[in-house]
Amino acid sequence: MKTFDFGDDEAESTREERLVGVSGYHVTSEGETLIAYGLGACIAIALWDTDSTVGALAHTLLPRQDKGLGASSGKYVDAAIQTMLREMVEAGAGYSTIEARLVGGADIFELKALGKGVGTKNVAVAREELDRLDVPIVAEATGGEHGRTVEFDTATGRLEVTTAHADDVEVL
Amino acid sequence: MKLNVNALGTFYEMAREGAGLAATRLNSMSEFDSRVKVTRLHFTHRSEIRNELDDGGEKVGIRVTMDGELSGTSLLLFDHESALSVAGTLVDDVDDEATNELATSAIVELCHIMNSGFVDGWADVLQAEIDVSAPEYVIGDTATAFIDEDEFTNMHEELALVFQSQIETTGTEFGFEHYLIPEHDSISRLFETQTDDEGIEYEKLAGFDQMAQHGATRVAENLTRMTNIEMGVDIRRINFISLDAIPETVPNEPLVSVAFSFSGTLGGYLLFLFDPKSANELVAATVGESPGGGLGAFEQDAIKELSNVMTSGLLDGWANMLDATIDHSTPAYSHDMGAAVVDPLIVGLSEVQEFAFVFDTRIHAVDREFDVDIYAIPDESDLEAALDRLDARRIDESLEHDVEETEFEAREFDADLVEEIAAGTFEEVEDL
Repeated sequence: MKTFDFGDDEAESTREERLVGVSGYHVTSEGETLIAYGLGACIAIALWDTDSTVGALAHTLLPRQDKGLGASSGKYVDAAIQTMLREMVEAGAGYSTIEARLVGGADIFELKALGKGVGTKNVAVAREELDRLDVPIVAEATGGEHGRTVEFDTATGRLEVTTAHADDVEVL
Repeated sequence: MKLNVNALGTFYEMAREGAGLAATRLNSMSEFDSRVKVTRLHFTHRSEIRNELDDGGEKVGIRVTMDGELSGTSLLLFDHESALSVAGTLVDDVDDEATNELATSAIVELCHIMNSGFVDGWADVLQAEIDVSAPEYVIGDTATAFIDEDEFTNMHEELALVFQSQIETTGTEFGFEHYLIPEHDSISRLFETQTDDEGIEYEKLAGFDQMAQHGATRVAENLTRMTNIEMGVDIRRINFISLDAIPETVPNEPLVSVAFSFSGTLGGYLLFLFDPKSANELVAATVGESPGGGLGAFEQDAIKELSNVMTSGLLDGWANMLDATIDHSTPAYSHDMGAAVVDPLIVGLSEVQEFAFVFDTRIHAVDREFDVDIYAIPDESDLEAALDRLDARRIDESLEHDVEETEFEAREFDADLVEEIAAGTFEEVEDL
């Protein structure tokens, strides 16, 4: 029988791909590919430092933390942006060379109970917050009526967007 | 016993973190790169637990019994192929069946270490001792290989509570499930110490679920009559889950979906999910084969109308049970990735709650590959208030009434209505 050293239970995985679930975010300097599946009204916020290649992806659900429940930073657009920027700088990113890309914010269903433009609100708050923090948005795939999946290779900065309705991959 | 949502939330998070710890330990001991796919806290009929353990071929793992503050059974089960792979990364000499002494010892050791983290976490949260038996190696393809009759008897008959976590790996097919099945008496004591007077009365939830079960059966019968395809209820359970985890319970593939909002005494959302093949079969069985074989506007309207009929049936049953009024919106159609169609509904609920009771039903065809998943997600505070007012006697009365009056036959599928919907002239229900 082999023997095992568990070390720290919270130790980081060495995986090359990492799923970022709803209300989650991840910051990496390891060149991982970060993936967010099935974005509907949610938006994915991808941040990347062109010099250090430190990258981050959040899968956010609601626009602003002060109007929501729970303390999860990845749940809210404004809190996710602030938290990821802080952690990216801590991981070695230069603030002035960080760029942002936004994906998602679609209106999948026409249900009055959901209110008009749930996804649009998320996108608007992301733009406002990034503008306030002087982070340029270099590309967007937002709005519309279809869901999207994001694969963000933080080693190269390549971000691919796929949908259920198009064979082509959109590269942002 | 009352189910307090905050206490349920704590237990749910505990189970989710415990599963994460188990995955990390699996990574430390093997060459796998694993993560928790999903954690569920189910309330389900105990026969469903048996069905689930009977399903999916041979499983290999350990069984541990717990005693003390939390009594019950913990099962850690790999599917056969995954057990072989795991054993192969731990020891060099693994036979094809993974049944030699070295292989079984490796699997027992690994599962035991994974389970220990899980149980230790519970003990910390409860600030109590939990005694754990020595792990017992289990292998088999039927439920009786993993849980004996006494353990089934100790569960609540109508609404047993189960914590279930799936772990998946990157890049390889992998099957691992952890079941924590507390004894009902134990879980009752736990809730009594963790909650105050606020919450949902367990027996009322059980009664309501009984009615929901009956309603699902009637919807399946109704679908059978409309389609001439024999349908049955495959899964019925209440899933208490963090809203942000719901997308992970939905297949990550394109699905045909129809959503409704409902309001009144009970508000929330209802979502029907069909794989495209099932949607096409449903259309073909009701309004005939479409010329192109796809889902054009007419076929989409047929799917909407069928879902509308099912919605009326389900919600009328609920309203009757609760002696309440529940209105629902017109259907909203989408053909998109599973997670993407769920997320707008989650966004809608997330502003007011973090967790939800999801009434999860799968209706399937008896002799062909065809099924529909139905998710009913009530507003949590509405559900609590509605069940609080529910008189237990009404449960029996509602069930009797439903049998006599066959209320689910009140709204029949009508191909003419499909034309009206397509023409935009269908106004039977008010858009909410």
